[in-house]
Amino acid sequence: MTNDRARELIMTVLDDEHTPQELAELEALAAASSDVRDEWARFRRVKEATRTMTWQEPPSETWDRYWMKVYNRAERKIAWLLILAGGLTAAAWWLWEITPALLRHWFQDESIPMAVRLAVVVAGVGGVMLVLSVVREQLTARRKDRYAQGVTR
Amino acid sequence: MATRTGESGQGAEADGALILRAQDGDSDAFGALVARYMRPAYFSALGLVGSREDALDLSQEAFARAFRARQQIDPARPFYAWYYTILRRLCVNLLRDRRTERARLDEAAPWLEALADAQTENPARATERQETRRRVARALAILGEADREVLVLKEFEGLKYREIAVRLDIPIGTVMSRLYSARARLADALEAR
Repeated sequence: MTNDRARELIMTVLDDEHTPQELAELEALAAASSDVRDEWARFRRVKEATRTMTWQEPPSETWDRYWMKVYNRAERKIAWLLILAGGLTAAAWWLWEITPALLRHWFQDESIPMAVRLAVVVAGVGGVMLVLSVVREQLTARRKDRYAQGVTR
Repeated sequence: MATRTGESGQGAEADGALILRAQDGDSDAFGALVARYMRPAYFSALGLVGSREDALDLSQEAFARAFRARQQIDPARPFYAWYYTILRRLCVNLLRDRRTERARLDEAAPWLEALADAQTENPARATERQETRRRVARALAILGEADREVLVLKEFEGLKYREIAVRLDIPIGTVMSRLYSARARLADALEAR
């Protein structure tokens, strides 16, 4: 088994980030230890294998519209946020203004069966829970997103 | 090899000027930044997630986030290093969410290729290279994210230890130990018959 120093030297020599002294030190270690020699040779084979690899190029058209896709993505996110903000504000106002009147009518109209009234109330409660759950998830995800911490350097 | 990312000297000055223009409302300036870094961004993501479709999607999403946050970019600092923190986070999140799918994705979409020497290559050598490529790609796919990232930055982006340490905000000793660990796994994979 090689020791930590030998491993460190093998890495620096393989990656051509060594000093002449480090190369001499590794050569001395290799001369004295067959384990070091074997490990050095083993890692040289790995280095050679990765040196002859490259990324597979995507189709050239990938780059042609790359920026446009980035721009569209950024713009649409802003558009969705505006729609969401406006829609939620309008919906909140509408609910605030309309709901009391609707509820009064709903519960005073005796032609509507009680079971239907209850079903609508249950569905309404489910809808409110869903909205609250989505909002909570979004807020939680935003807090955990370390991107926000990386923005300000 | 993927293009090295210019993060200093003239490159950084030009980036700063483009960022300032983008902050003044010139979106084409940001487009020029994207054009400059889209290839290294895509390949960095590819090295991390191992899927071409995801790499394209994540690199574009990271640029979109950077674009929306452009007013907060410090033009005096290297843009790509900052952008990489966004990209890396997105890649790590994807790997965390899709860990079980990763091996299937890697098998389905080969993303490395062997460099062939057109002058001397014969069919047997070409076959051997492709086999090596397959083994390296498979070994990379099963590396831990941290080891894989360091290996990709070293071998495929050609960064120096110091540059990797700065980009990942880790000590140089950790860079070297992760490289050692990754290469040991690669060696095992290449020796397995």
